[in-house]
Amino acid sequence: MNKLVAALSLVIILTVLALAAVDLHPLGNPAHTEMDTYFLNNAQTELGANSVVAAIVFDYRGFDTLGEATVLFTAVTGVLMVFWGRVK
Amino acid sequence: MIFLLVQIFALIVIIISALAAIYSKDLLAAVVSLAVMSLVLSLEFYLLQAPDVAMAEASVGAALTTAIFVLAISKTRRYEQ
Amino acid sequence: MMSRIVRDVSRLTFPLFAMFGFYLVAHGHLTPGGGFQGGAIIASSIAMIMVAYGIYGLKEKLLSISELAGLFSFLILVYFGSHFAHSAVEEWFKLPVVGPNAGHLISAGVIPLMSIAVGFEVACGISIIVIAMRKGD
Repeated sequence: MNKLVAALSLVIILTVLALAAVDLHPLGNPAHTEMDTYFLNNAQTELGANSVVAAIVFDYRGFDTLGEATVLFTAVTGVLMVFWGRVK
Repeated sequence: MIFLLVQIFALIVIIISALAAIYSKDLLAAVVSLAVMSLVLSLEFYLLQAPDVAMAEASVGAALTTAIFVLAISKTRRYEQ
Repeated sequence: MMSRIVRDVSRLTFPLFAMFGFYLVAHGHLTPGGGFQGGAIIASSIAMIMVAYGIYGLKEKLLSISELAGLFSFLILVYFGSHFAHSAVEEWFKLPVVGPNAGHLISAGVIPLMSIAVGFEVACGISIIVIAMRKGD
């Protein structure tokens, strides 16, 4: 009974995923391109960075990178609390 | 054509090394299999024209995770029971 | 302390790895890569030399203070260097002009400084995790 339920749910999930994959948008033709074209056209003249990825990561989306750095700092603090924080 | 062949080879190696990491009883061999999977995954990222993600994946997945897992194994048991 | 082969090979390849990491951090605004990737490569070279030689002589308190300094310098640079305050930063700190010399090493305003701050923080943080796991309790 359990195996029948598992096989049935697997078939249903595979069918839904295959239908979604057939209906997927083709790669390389994004639907909304206003922001992408703005970044690609203006990153070098506005910021002077040749790498558009660096321009987006460190300037246009700088606060996201700040959050990522804070997450890493919190992770290091947690690891140090686990390893060194016990009472002698 | 050659890129398609290399991509198919990379995906096959990724699946094989992931299965080896799951099914092996030696934890050190499982960690090395994970490192191989991460390295070939970074090759796949590079073939899909994302060198930033490839560099991050190679350095974090193949070096730092392996070092941390090996240090953890050296403080516990090596063989799964 | 591991065997002779591991020690010699890690001592020979450590400068190459560390130099590649510093190159990625410094050229974050010109080539693929940046703060996180370069910092992770520096941290992995430190982890390699630590696995080969042991942790004698490493100062954990200095590393944690460096990580905190990296995070706070990045915080300050984000506050001053966000897109709204760009001209103010150029006026106050006399940073290089961002427009005409794109492609040189010294260009792009605060982006390389932020990349260096993030690389500092990531390298110190991940190596202090590896030191804590190597040292144990």
